[in-house]
Amino acid sequence: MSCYGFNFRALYYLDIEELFEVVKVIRGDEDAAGIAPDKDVYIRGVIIPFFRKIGKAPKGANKDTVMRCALVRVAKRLGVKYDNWDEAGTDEIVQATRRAFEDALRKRIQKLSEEERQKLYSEARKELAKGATGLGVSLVGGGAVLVGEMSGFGIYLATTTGLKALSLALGTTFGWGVYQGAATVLGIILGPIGWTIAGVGIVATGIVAVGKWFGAKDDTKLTLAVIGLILALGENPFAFLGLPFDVSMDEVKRVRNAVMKAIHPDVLRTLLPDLPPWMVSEFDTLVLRTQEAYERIQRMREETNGRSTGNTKAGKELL
Amino acid sequence: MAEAQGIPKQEKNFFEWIQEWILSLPIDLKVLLEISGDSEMGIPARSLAVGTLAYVVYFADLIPDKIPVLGLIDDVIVIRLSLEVIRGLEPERMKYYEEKYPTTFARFAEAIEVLKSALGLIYDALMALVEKLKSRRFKGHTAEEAARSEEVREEMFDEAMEYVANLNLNPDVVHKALLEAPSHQVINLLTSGLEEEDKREIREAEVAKRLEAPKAMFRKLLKGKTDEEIDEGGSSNGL
Repeated sequence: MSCYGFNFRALYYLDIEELFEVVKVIRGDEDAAGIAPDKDVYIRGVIIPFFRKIGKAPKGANKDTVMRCALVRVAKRLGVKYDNWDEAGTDEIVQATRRAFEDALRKRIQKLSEEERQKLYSEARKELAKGATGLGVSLVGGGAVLVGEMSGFGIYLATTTGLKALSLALGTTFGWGVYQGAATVLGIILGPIGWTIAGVGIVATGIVAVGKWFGAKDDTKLTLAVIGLILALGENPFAFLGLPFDVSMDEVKRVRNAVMKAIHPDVLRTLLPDLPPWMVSEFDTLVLRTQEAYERIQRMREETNGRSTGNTKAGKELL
Repeated sequence: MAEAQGIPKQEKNFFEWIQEWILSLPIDLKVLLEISGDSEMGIPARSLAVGTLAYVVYFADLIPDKIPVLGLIDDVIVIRLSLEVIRGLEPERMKYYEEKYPTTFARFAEAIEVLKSALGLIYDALMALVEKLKSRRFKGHTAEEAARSEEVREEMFDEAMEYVANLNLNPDVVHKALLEAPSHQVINLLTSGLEEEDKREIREAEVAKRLEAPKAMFRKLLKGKTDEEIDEGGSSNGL
């Protein structure tokens, strides 16, 4: 059962704040302020119509097709290549797009001079010292400890303040402000964990997009909105844990605990003290991804257990 | 404050109500959408819900939507009157909606009273308009067909949400526009809208009359085609 992916219904999994960030990318900050805060209004009223208009979907296409067309368009923009696009699965294109996007950003960061890069790091570190620890705790609960241990670059990006610092350090405000919204969402949805996976990549989206497609206003927005959604939707947590969609929460918990027991860095370090650092880091990431998948499923279940009543039919059909 | 300037208390209340209704428009439309597809309701109630949605989203209104904020006043009033009619038709089932959508139904009976006293004679004229909504046609469908077709309702859902998103209902802007609007202007707009509506109906009746002969001829030619199918080719439904 494919209930989770880059499709119309999956959008209803996102929090209203997350959707609003994407809406802000599409409408711009000021225009978005007057839109009623409602998932249906955001999804059906703003996101899908925009994708329909810019994504070059065939006339009369249904909403899932519209989303796929927008995705394909962005994938092509980012240089993803397929011999036959019709044969490529949507999930596959999502992954390829995500990779292409990260690569593009990584390259952009590499192009910075050593001085610029150091400035970037130090600004981010300063901001982190101010408040990321607290934010990390509130975002991922127990996971915050792990995140702290990682001290990877990703953690810096998990904070809004960190992003502001980065934007200052890079000396660019154009386009960045637009993306910052989406980036904040990402920080919240994926938590610091997600950021560590996406890595440096995400940082400069705005910059790359703006640099490359300066003037192509709607295309830039489309790219930002699609990438925002890709990152917001994250990976399919069920597939990641190898579980079916209708699995019980107890089972999910069991799988998570089993993974944690087997590969937790502390355990590994005790058992295998000679493990090369890169491998430890790989396992770190795996632990974090497991935790992320677990938390996402937990959140989805809480939501479908009737906590939120304002969502309409489409949201409920996900059940 | 308003009273100090000699504006009667009644008016101040009316505009406060209107402001509340305009801001709850997105939710109200969702209530109507849900009713239109509710299999536990009778077709008359569902058709009326569809007709009301079509009025808000598709039809040329009593007060044109291009007048910012004020253009929505007729819509929010029509929605309330329509929900009142549906409450009369399906009192039991509506309790479910009243519980589920408290913002829309908070102090609903009181709201209807406010409307009655504020609108006077216009109230009855509007009620008559609402009663007709369930039999109006739009986009080649009757309201009843739309109520029965999930596909049409889904399309209406999308278009209603897009309509709402493009209204840019900023609470401050709404508040300001209503503060500046004298009540007689609103009543005038509604009255002239109703007059136009009457004219439209007369026009449509005339057009229908004039088309009778050619339609009869067509029927002979096409044999088996229904009136609706012939209508769909034309644009006599006011869109």
